[in-house]
Amino acid sequence: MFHANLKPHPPSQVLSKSNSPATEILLLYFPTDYSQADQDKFEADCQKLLGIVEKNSDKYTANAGGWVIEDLTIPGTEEKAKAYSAQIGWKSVQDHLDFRSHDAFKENIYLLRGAKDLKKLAVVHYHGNEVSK
Amino acid sequence: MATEIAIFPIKEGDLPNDLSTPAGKVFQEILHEVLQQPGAQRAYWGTEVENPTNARLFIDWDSVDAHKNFMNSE
Repeated sequence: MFHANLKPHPPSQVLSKSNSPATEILLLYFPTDYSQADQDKFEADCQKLLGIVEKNSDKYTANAGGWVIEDLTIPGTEEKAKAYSAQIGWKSVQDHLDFRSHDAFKENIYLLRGAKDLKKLAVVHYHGNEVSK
Repeated sequence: MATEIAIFPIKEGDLPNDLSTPAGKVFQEILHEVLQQPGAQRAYWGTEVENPTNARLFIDWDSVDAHKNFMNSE
């Protein structure tokens, strides 16, 4: 269990299936001493990529992301890392997979996968149930 | 404001999205209990599409301290 300051808050638009029927959940792992400048660059590149996704897919719904407060262990290793938690909403899981064939994806995914010193990228999907008070 | 993120293993089928099973009802009761705590806002959860024996839970809190206060109260 860990914490992140996701922007925007609350992240309801991307985490609840009422607005995002499927949510792509990413964790990106970087060195624990990833500099503030590197963090800022990564966030800027993320926003750039999300802008491209929004412009090129009517199946995209919302996003929320932020740096994880605690250092996390990289899955399958004992190595600690600074992590970024990113959530991207889609109309369906298939819509996300289909977008991977789009030229806009192929030409710009380097913004994420090519991030400086990226150690690991893990992605899953879920259909989010929201529970209010 | 902060979001607590948990990844935990479950028995496949224990958390159906309609919450109709006994395990699903217990899980929902636990969530409602957590959401009664000071600083708790709302929660979102679901099982991983790629690995249904993993569940993802997100809980919005007013702050990380609000969540820590709750953990320390138990």
